[in-house]
Amino acid sequence: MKRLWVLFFMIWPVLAIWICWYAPDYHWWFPTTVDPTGAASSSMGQKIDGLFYMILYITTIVFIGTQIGLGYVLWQGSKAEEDDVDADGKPRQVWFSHGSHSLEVIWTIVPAGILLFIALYQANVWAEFRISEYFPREKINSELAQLGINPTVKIVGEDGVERTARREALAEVTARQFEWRLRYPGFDSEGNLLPLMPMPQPTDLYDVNELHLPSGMPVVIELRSQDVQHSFFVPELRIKQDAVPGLVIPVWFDAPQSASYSLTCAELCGWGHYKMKAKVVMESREDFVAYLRELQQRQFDDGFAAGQTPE
Amino acid sequence: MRQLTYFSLILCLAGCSRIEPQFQNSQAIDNLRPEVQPAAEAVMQKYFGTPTQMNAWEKLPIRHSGAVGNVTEPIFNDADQVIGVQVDSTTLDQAWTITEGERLAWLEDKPVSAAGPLTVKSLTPAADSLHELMFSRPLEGSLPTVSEGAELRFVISPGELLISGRQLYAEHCLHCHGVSGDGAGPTAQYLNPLPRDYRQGKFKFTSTGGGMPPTRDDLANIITQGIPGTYMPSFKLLEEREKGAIVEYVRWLSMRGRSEIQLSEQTDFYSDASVDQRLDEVAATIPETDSRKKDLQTEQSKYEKAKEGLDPGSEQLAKLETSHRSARYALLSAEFDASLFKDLDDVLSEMVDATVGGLWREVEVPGEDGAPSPALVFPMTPRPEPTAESIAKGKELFLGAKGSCFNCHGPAGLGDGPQTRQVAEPKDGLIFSEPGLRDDWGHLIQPRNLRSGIFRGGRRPIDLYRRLSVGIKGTPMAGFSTLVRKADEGEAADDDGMTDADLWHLVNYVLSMPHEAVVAGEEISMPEIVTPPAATGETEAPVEAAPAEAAAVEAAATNS
Repeated sequence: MKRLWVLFFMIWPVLAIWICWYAPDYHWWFPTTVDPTGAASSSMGQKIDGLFYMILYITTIVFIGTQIGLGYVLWQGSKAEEDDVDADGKPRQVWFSHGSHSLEVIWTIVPAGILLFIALYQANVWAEFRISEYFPREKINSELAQLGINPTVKIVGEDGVERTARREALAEVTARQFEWRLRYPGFDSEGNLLPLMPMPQPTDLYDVNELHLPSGMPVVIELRSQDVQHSFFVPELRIKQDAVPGLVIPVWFDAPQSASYSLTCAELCGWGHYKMKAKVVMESREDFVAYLRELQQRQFDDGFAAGQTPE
Repeated sequence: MRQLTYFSLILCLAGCSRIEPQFQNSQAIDNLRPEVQPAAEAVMQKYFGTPTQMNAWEKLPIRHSGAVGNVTEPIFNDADQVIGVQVDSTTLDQAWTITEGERLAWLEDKPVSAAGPLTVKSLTPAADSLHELMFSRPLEGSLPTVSEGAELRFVISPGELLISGRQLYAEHCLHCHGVSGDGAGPTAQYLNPLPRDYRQGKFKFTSTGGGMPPTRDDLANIITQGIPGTYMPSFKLLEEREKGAIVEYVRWLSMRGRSEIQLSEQTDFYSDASVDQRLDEVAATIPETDSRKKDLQTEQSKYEKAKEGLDPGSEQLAKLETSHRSARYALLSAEFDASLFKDLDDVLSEMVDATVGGLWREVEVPGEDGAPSPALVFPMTPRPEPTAESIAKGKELFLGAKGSCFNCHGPAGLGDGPQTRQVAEPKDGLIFSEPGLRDDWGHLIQPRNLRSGIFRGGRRPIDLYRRLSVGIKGTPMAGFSTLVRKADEGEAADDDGMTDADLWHLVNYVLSMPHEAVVAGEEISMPEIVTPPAATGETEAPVEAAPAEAAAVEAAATNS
C-alpha cells in the first residue's frame, strides 16, 4: 500500500513532463503561423528564444532532479517497517536536516549563483532591446538611408530655441481603447519620404490597425497610449512592450521575412481588450514606400474625379 | 444533482448570473393605446419578425443572400424530378458560391421566408454568362407563375446573409449598440458619446445628401476605419463578406426601427373616434347567432343607462366611455385586430416603398452612364491647393457671418463657441435646463475641437467637404448646401451664399488648424460681424459673446 502511494505521487511529475514534451504537437507552443517550426521570426526574437530555452533547460533539470530526490526519499520511507532497528539494535530514528548550517549555505548559494548567471547572461540582450543607446543604430541608419530619410531634424522648442534631433521612427503607434491608431511620415513636395516628427505634420499619413513596415532591417516605432495602459505584442516576432500613457517609448524590431504578423494587446485594458486585434505587415522597402504613396493618395482624395461622369 | 444546485446557488450569490439581452420593441410601439398595440405588433412581426426569427421581406432593399439572380429560361424535366433554369451569372454575387443542398426561393414580392422549398442540385457553367442551375423538384407547385415577359428572380438561401450578419453583430456590436439597435447595450452606459441608435435612420457620417440614409459603403467604411475620438473602434480585420453581412443587418435594424416609428405616427387609426368607429363596424359584422351579440347588447344598454344624467365633457363621462370601449374591445378583439391589421399592413407596405425602404434603395442606385448615384455629394470643382491665401480666405469665412463657424466651434476652433453656453431650444417635447448644444437624441453634444487633429468622419478633403456641404445628420451642425452654391467664384460677389470654392477654402483652413500655432496672449481679430442670414439660425449670440470669447481663447492658449 505504501508503495502504491509513492507511485501515485510520482505519476504527477511524470505526467507534467510528458504533457510539456508533447505540447508543441498540439499547438500549445509558439505560434506557427509564419514559421512552421514555431521559431521566432526576428533576430531579437531568436535571442529571446535562446534565453527562454536556456531557462527552460535549467528549470527542467532542477525539476527532474528534485522530483527524483523526492521520489527516492518516499521510496526509502516506504521500505521502512515499524520494528526496524539500526546496526546497534536500537529502534531506527528519523534524521532531521532542519538547522543544518552547511545545507542552508549550499541551497542559498547554488540558486543565487544560477540567478546571477542568468541576470548577467541576458543583460546584453536586454540592453539591445530596451535601452536606446544600445539599439543597432548602424543598421537602423542604413535602413533610413535606403528609404531616403534624413533623420536629423531641427525642432524649435517652446522656448524658441532651435535644437537638432535625430528622428529614427518610421511610425507612431498610438494604442487606445480598443484599436491601434497609426501615424506615418509623409512625402515632401518632391516625393521624398520625410522623417517622422514628434508632433503631427500636415504631410503625415494616418491609418488604423494595419501597421506596414519594411522587412529585412531593424525599424523603430514610437509607442504611445491615448488612455490606459496597453501592450504592443507581436508574438511571432517576440516583441512585447507596454504602452504607457504619457510616455513615448521607442521600440525596434526586424523581420527578415516579408509576411503578415498578428498584433494584439497583451495588457488587460478594458472590456473591449479582446477587440484590439490588428496586423503588422512587413514588406519589401519598395512595397512599403508604395503603400505610403497609396495612403497619401487616399488621404488627400478630394472626390472630384469620382463625382464626374466617365467619358 | 444536489451539488449542482449548491454550485449554481454559489455562482448566483457570487454574481455570475447571465444576463440574457432581450429584443425590445421601440417605445413608439409600446406607448400605443392597448386596443391598437396587438395589430401594430402583428404587422411588425409579419414583415420583420425578431432578430432570431427574421422575416426577409423582399420589399426592403436588403440583400438576403449573396446570390440573387434572374432566370432567363426555365427547363423542365418531369421524368427526372428535376427543374433546371438558365441563370444569368452576371446577376449573381461572385463572392457567394452556390453549393448543393442550398435552399432556393422565388422572389414574388412577399415575405421570402414563406417561399417554396426547392434545393439546389447542381450549378453548371454554360455558354458565356449563362449558368444552368438544377433543382430537385418537389411534388408540385415549383415554379411560380410569372406574367409574360416579366423577370423571374430567385434567391439562394434566403435570409442567410442577414442571419450571419446577426451573429456577427451579436459578437462585435451588440454590447454597445443593443439587441434592438437602440444604442443601449450593456456597455453603452460607460460611453461618451453614446453609441448610435439606428432606429431613427439617422447616421452622422455619410456621403449622401441631407435627409438621406447612408450607403452600404458608408457603413462599411465606418466599420473598417472606426470613429476616432469616440469608442467606435476599427474592425479592419473582419473579412469583406463579414462586414457586408453586418452592414445588411444594421440596415435591417434601422429600417425596422424607422417602420416602428412611422407606424406609431399613423394617428388617424388610433384616435378615440376612429377606434369607436372601427368597433362599430366590426360589431355590425357579428352574426346574430354569435353568443357575443347578446353580451354586446347588454354592454350597450348598460352604457346608455349609465350615460344618462352625465354632463357632456365631464370627467365621469370620459371614464365611462373608456371603460365602455375596453369592454367592447375585449369582446371584439379578434375581429378588431384583424381589421386594423389589414389597414396597417397597407400603410406599412406603402411606407416602405416611399420612405423607409425607398430612400435606402435610392442612395444605391447608380447614376446614368456610369456616373455615381445622384444621391451622393461630390464637389463641383477640384480642391484648390492649400496655399496661405486659400487658408486665409477659409479663416475669414470661419470667423465671418457667412460661415458663422465660430458660433459653435469658437473663434480659435476649440469647440467653445458662444452657442455652447446657451440653453438649447426645446425639441421633441424635451425641455433642457443645462446649457449646451443638443443632438436629435436630446443628448448634450460638444462642437468639435478642430485643433485636436481628430476628424471623426474621416480626414480626407472629400470627407470634410461633405460635412460642410450636408452637415452632420442629427446634430446642430448644419450644411451649407441649403444656401446658394455655385461653382463659379465670381458670381458670389453680391450674395450671402457659399460657393463651392468657399467650401474648399474652409476645408483647407480646417485641415490647417491643428498645425496652426496658437500663441499665448495673441488676439484673434474677428471680421466685422453682420447679422447672419436666417438659414444659419443664430442671430444675437455672436455679437454679445465675442469679447468674452477672445478672453476664453487667450486662457485656452495659455493653458496649452
